[in-house]
Amino acid sequence: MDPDITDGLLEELAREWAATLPSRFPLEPEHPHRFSRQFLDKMELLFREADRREDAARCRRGSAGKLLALLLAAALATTMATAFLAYYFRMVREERKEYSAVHYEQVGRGYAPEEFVPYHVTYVPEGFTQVQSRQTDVSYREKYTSKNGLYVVFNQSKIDQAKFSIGTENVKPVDIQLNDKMLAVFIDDGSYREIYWDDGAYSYYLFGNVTEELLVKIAESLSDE
Amino acid sequence: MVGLYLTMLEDPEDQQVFREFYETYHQAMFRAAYRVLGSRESAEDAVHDAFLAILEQMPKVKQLGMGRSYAFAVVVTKNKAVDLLRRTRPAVSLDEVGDWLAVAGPEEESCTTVLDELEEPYSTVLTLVGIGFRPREIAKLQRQDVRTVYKQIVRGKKKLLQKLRKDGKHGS
Repeated sequence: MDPDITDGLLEELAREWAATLPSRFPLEPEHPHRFSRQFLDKMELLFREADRREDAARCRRGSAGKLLALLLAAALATTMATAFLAYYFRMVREERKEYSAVHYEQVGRGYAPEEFVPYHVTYVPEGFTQVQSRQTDVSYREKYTSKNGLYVVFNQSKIDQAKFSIGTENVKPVDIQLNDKMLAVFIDDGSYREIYWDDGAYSYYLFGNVTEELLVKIAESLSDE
Repeated sequence: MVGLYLTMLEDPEDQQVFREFYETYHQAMFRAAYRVLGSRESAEDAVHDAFLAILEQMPKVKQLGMGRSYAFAVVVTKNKAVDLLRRTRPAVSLDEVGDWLAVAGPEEESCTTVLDELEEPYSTVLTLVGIGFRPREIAKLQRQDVRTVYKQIVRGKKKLLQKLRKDGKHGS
């Protein structure tokens, strides 16, 4: 193996290559291809297979999670932690080799989930249009794209259901403030940027291949009105 | 009794990851396949082959993040398109395919990088390494023996080094 071609260099070259993709192979081309019925039918079979696999994996995780929860509860019962916090959840970021897995751990009593109230992006940059809006009982998502291959995606989840992965290999998360009061985490992965934060009730995750300034402006524009 | 318990992290969106991946990237993948094959029908076949391979790699795909997912979608599709090209036109050598892939259309000429200029399969393998795939994962993706992949990585790196030095981008 040639020591001159390091994995770091390959990563840099791959990133450089990836940066050309929006112009060469845009996500939302001006004249999208209309896929044949035959293709769509074949894809439907793959979707069902993907769902089946995810259901099977969730069953396995559920069993493992319940066992782990029982073990943790038994271990902590001896310490009798009784701190009562205004915030019922704290963010947990598990650093893995190539990414970090973020979820929220309940740390206080009395959390009573309420009806989900979605937040919306109220600042839509010029040239962007909303291409997706999807809401469930516990989450909400909006996606905006522009004709020149730029995109922004906003995800909101109930804090007790929030779970997402962020690319943190070779990048350093930076603490920022939104609207001069809300602490958030910003990551610049080179070809795209991410911001994530929570307000105690919801977890918010915003990412896109726009500039930091634009992403922050969009994050600060979120409103439930 | 106060107990600390993990939330059951049943993200309902997990189930949608594959569908979202499709919704986000299928147009870009089609275009990448069409670029290689020049036929809409064949390009759809290549895109479907790519999604078959991606389905097997979903645990890894979930870890990638947006930027690398995009790169992964395109490189897998390109790879499947090249496979399809070889199956339908067996007389075509990989060098020729590499030449075709390296020749850019006018709108793309300014967008190609050194990884594009490498011949196949080295371009695909090294791009996947750069994205974060391990040799064993690449072998599974390409349905090859992992030893073959290791050899491709070694040879690919040699060719890449030659190219970079020739272009004056790397110390000799």
